[in-house]
Amino acid sequence: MISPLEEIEALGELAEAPPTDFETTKEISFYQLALRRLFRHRMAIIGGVCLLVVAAVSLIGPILLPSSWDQPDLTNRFGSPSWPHIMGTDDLGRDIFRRIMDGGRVSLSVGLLATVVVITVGVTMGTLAGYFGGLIDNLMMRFTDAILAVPSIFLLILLTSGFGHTAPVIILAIGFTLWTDTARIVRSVVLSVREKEFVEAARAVGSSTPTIIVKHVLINVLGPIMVAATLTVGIAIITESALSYLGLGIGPPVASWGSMLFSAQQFIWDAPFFALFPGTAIALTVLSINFLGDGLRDAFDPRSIER
Amino acid sequence: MYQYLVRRLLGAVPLLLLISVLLFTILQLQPIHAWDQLLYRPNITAADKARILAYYGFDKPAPIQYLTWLRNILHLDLGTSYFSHQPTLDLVRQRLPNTGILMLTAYALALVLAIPIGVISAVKQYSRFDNIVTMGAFFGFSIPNFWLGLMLIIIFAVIPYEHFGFKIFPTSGMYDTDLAGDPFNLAWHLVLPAVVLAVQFIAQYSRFIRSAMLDVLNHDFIRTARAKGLTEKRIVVRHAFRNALLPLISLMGIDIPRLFVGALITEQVFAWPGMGRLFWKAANDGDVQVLMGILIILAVLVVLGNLLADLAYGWADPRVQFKAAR
Repeated sequence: MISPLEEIEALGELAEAPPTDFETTKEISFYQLALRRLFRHRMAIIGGVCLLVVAAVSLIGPILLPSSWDQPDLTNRFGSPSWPHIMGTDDLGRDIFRRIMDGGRVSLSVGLLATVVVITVGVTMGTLAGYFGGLIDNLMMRFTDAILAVPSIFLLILLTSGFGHTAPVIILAIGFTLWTDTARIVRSVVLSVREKEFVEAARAVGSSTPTIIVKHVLINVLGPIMVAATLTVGIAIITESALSYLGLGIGPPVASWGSMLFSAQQFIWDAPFFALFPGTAIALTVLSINFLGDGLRDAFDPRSIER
Repeated sequence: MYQYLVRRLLGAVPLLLLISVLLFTILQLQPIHAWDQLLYRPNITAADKARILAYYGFDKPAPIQYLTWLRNILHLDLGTSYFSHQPTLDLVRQRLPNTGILMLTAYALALVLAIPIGVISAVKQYSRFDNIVTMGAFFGFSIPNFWLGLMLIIIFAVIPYEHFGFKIFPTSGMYDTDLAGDPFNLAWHLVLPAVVLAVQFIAQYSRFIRSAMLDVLNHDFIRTARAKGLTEKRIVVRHAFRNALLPLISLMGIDIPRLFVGALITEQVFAWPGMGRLFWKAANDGDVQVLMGILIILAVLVVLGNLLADLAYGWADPRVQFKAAR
C-alpha cells in the first residue's frame, strides 16, 4: 500500500567505476563499500536487530511455551495482561503472546515469499523491457498501466475471494499486484546501464546476450533491487495483514496479525487491550524493515559516497 | 491543447479495454463462481439449473459473455446484483458520494498539514523540528491504518465511555439514526475516519514537499532573489514554494488508486457506507456484476484523474506545451 520507492530510481548511476577507499589504500568493491556504509547507519542497524529479534521470537517462542496455551480455554476468556499471560488472552481464552508468535511466522513468511515472487517477476519483466525495448517494452508498460489503474486492494480482494483464502493464493496474489513498481524501477536502471561503455565493450568482444544481461547489466542493478526487495517485504506484510483484517486472508484457526485485529474489533468494547499487541507487532516489524531499507538506500546512493 | 486532450482520451480506450479483459479473465479462471451460490438450493431440478444459467447468460462461451457485457457497458448498463436485484449503477450512485466525502476531507486535511510541515522542515533542514518530522514520517508509513483506526476508537470512544459514560467521537456510520442528513453530525462522524485515512498521506507528502523544496532552494534563481535583497520569507513563499508545488500535482494524479485503497480499509474500520464496503460485500457474495461494475468505474476514475493531473500540470507550468503527436 505504501510505496516509498520513488527515490530508488535515482540509483541508476551505480555503474560508475568502483571507488577507491584511500583510508586503507586497498581497493574494495562498490558492494563492500556499501556494506560498510550500511553498518555505520545507526537506524538501519537498530531496525535490522529488531527484525532479527521478531523473527527469532516467532520461530523459537512457540517451542518454549506450553502448547496448551494455544488451546481454547473458555474459563479464561479476555484475561487482562498479567503473569503468566503477559499480553492477556483472546475471545477463546488462548494466550495472545503465543498467537502473536504464530502470526509472526505466517506474516514474515508470507511477506518474504511474496517478495520473492515480486522480485522474480519484476526483475525479469523490467530487465527484458529495459534491455530489448520495442514491442516487449510497450506491452509491459501497457500491462503495468492496466494493473496500476485498479487500486491494489480491490484487485487482491477479487483474486482471494475467487481463488480461495490459502497461503499460496495470497502469496501469488500479492506478488501479482505488487511487481509493477519493481519492474519499472529495474527497467529505468537497465535503460541507463545498457548504454554504458562496458556493455558495449562486452558486446564488442562477442559476449552472448544472456551473458551481458547477467554479468554486466544485472550485477549493476543489484543495489536498487535489494532496496526495492527490502521495502517490498514491508509493503507485503502490511498488505497481508490488511487482507486478513478484512477477513480475506489466511483463515482461522491459523493465527495472523491481521486476523487477530479482525476479531479484536468485534470485542473492542469488552477487551480493548486485545487490539493493542498484534498491531504493535505489525508496526514494529514494518518500521524496522523501513529503517533497514532506508539505510540500504543511503548505503547504495553514489551521490553520498565519501572519498 | 484540444488535440492533446482528444489524443489522451482516445488512448484511454484501449487501456480500459485491456483492464476489462484482464479482470474478466481473472473472473473466468476462478474456481469459485457466482452461479455456485445461485444454484445452491435444496430440491433444485436439472431443468431449473439450466434455466437459471441461461437466464444469466452463463451457458454461453466466455468470449460471448464478455462481448455481451461490453455491449451493455456502452449502453451504461453495468449489470444487476444477483442478490439485491438492484442495478450496479444505482448501487454505486448511492455509495460513491459517501466515499467521495471521506476521501476529499482526508486529502484536504493531508495537504493542509503536509505542505507547511514539508516547507518548514526543508527551510530548517536538520533542525530538531526536521528530525522529529522525519521520525514521524517513518511511523506514518509503517503503522497500518486499520490498527491506527482501532487505537483511535479505543482512545476516543472506549476509554471515555468506560470512565465518563460518553464517546468523544462516534465510531461507526455517517450519521446518528435520528439526525440523518445533518451536516454537523456528518462532520462529527468524519473526524476519526478522515484522520486515519490522512495519516499516511501526511507522512508521504511532507517528505515529498521537503525534498522538492530542498531541490528548488538550490537553484540559481533563488540565489538571484537573495542577491536582490528579498526577505527570506518572500523567497520561500513566492519563489521556492510555488515551484516545489509542481511535482506535487503529478503525485496527486498517481496517488488516486492509493486513496481508494485507504478508503476501503477505513470504511471497513468505521462501518462507513461507501464503495469499499459495497465492493467487500460483493466479493464475499460472489456478486460478479457488481464487482466488475465497481472495478471498471474505479479504473475510469483513475484514468481520468491522471489525465486531469497532467492537464493541471500543464496549466500550472508554462514550460509544458501540449504538442499533438504525429
